[in-house]
Amino acid sequence: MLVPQSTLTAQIKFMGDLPAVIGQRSLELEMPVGSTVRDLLASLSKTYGEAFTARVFSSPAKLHHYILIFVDGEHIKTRGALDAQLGNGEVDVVMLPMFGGG
Amino acid sequence: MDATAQATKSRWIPTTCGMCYIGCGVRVQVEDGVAVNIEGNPENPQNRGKMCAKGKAGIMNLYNPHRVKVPLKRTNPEKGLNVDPGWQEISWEEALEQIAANLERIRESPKKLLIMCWGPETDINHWLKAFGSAFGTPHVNSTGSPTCGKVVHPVEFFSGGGFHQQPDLHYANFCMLVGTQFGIATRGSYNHHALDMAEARERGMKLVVVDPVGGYAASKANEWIPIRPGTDAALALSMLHVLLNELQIYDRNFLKNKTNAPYLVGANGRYLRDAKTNEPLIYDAADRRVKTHDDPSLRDPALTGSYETQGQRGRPAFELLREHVAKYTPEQTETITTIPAATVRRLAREFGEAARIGATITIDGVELPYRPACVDWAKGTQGHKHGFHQCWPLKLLNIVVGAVNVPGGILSTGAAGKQPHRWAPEGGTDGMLEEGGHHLPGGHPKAFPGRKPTRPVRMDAGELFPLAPHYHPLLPITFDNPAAYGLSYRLEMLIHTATNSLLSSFGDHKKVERLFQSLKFSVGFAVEVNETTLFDDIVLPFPSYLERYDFVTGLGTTTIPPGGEHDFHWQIRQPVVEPVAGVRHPQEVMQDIGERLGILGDMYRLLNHAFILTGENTLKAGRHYPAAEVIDRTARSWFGDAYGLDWFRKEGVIRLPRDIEEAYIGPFINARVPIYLEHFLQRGEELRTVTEELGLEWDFSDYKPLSDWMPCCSYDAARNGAYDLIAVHFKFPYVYGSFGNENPWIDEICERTNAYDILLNEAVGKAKGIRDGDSVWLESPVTKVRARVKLTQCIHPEAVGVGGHFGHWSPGMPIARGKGLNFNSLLPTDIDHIDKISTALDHCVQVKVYK
Repeated sequence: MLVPQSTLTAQIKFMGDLPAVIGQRSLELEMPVGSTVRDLLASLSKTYGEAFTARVFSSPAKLHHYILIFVDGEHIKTRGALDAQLGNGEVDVVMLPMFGGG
Repeated sequence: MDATAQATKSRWIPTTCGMCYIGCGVRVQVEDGVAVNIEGNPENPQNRGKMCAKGKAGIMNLYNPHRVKVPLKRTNPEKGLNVDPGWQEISWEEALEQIAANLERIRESPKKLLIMCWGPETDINHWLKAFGSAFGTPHVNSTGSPTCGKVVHPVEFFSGGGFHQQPDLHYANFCMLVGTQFGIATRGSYNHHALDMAEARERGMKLVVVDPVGGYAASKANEWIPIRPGTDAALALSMLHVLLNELQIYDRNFLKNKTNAPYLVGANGRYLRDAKTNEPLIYDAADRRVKTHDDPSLRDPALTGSYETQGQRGRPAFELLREHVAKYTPEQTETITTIPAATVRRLAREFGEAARIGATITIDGVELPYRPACVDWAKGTQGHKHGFHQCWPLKLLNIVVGAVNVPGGILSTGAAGKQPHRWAPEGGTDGMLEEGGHHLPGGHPKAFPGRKPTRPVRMDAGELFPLAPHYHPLLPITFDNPAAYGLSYRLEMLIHTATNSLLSSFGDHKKVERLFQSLKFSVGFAVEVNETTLFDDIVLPFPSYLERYDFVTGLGTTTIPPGGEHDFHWQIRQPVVEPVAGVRHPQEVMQDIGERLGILGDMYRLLNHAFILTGENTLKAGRHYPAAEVIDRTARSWFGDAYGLDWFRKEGVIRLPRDIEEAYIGPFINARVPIYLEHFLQRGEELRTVTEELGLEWDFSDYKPLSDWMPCCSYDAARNGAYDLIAVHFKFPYVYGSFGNENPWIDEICERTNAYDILLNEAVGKAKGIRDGDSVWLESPVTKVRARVKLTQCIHPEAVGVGGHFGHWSPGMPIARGKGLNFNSLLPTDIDHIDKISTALDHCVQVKVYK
């Protein structure tokens, strides 16, 4: 009899400004099955504190416009935004550089 | 020769100019594989067949005999402003191997990589941004100048919705330019606006130019008003006082319904907020109740009065603004600006009356507010110690008369579109303009709501500038003492585009020299060996714009296209001649580097997003793509399979009509714009906590919701007797950065127009015993240089004008070498000269001029 998995392992890759905050480009995180991007970001905020939260959220539950998140290569806006479900795949969290002028 | 043979020998190829950041449509005549002539493409709605001198001279950039044609390696380990690198030619393989090896060295600490990717706005900019982000460095700088855009972009996104601003020359009857030569010598879509400006003047639009330098714009103006450098805010605040308090000219309907003017502000300067929803509150005079800003029953928001709600007393933000500006009487500001009080009053009246508050106009069957008056500002007003607050009151002039994104007013550029994608600015926090407003998805600089400050991890300490768009002018300051900002590492490697950041992107050359010397390994793309290249360890040859493919060809299509009733257009850049042997497309070079580091798939993911590649056209991990194929895939993604690269190669430009909702977005945006910067208080308080933790002394005087005029260092220095003049920078229509300085045709124009001289007021020169053409010392607090003087009445008597971006010394630029001077080299470059909101470096500097 198959025992339902209770956790998933997300492979998280950080790009842009975020590796400098996290201290590494990627990490693996075990989370309960059914976890969402919102849960993942909450977990990361808890671990990495204000340095992470301030860069990712413009206000509680609202991402800065320059934050880009892909789940299994797909932009989360097409998968329910922060409610996008995680699997055992890859999550890319990107803080894009500003465009300038001059 | 028969006609057929003639036709095969000579042909016209449509492409995009690359002599500045705009990207005009051009057609290049090619004979026997040689480019012989360039004309404007009349099919392109941006420049409508017009060209400037820079574009016409582009051929001479292509055939510059001193171009870099093969990769070069430095053999002299010593680096310095005047140090010969000892170049040695190497193969591409060796160059890429060395670059990859040095990137591997910092792989575990990717923040040690600095990328300067201003290109200007071409594909290499996006490829380098993707590379830097995938590699994992926060130091990806995509801006070129230490001032340009530092204020206007973050201001425009929150007060207009787009990237930049433009007077609506189609309908304006009064246009005041402050510190800019819009439509006459500079700015995005310049060749377009030059024609519109001429037509507007012909039909009677009054053009007023406020500038220390009576340059090209002033020469076309009805009135040139010389102003003491660094005092623009005092003028604007005084005009606001006259409009709001003396004349009572303001657009009540616009202020009530489209701004935060009615938001109630408590004694602590913060909005009164609803206890349940936390939304800002407004007093509705219609039913005498206090409501949230988004209450559907809101009918008549009050702009005046004092109201108590939920145990707090508050007053509308508008009343605070009106009281605040009352101290800036024209008599008081005359002592600051030198502009007579009567002139300020007249200007304010002319502007306010020309705005025709309450008038409407019907265009294409749609009735719109009609406000044919606007104030425009740009580089000159931004480059100050308190640059943000020098500019913001100028924008407020447009806002209080409702001249924002409506016919005749100030227009936000590139803010909305329906084809080939949909984009538009949107409301967000507190009902204020916050989201969208940009065509290409990416990080766009917005000063609302800003970011919460944190302890820096960036070497430029950008975290301490939570409302700024970008931070690179800080690097020569912060790198010198990283520990002061809580940093415990150093930048080690630089990759930069084929621009000249040493001369153009910072200030004091000696400080920039130390920054560049501190980098262990530097890689630069180069068309010619300029002063920045002299610090490189590896130089990669870069194709001329006439040999290159780009999908994004300039700001004239993306963020600064012509506003108002003009078609959306897109064009590509294609090679008109074969690239010089040995020169590779930079897109392909970056693929090679990305693959060697194992991050090519991540780069593609970001590029698919940046270029809006979809479906089968996305770039796929594990594959290499010729530059031409990337263009083809992007074009198909945007416009459909019928409009791939081959279509653009032949036709040059695609035009898509825009409707009124795209041309005049003001009435259609469901969001308010600010007159009161409440969030500045919050960000200032948060920043105070961080700087106190770091033990940093910090100036918080800019973190205020209502602007004041605050003096630059030069203002005080020129008054205490140590210096008697203030140097300012101005632009020529035939010079952009140093792109054309090695071009013999542009050099000839510069010689014939005294562009290499400094401008000094004639009366001041005579008093100093200086004659026209004399060689003098120009001394600032950080350097002194020799300069030739042009005496003129067309400059404020307290100013010295330095134009262009000259002063080259690189042996790789023999035409430009030793001509003119580099204005940025005069600038004290320290934290005291940085605007604490925008990071703009103060561009007015106290100087002495003597023989």
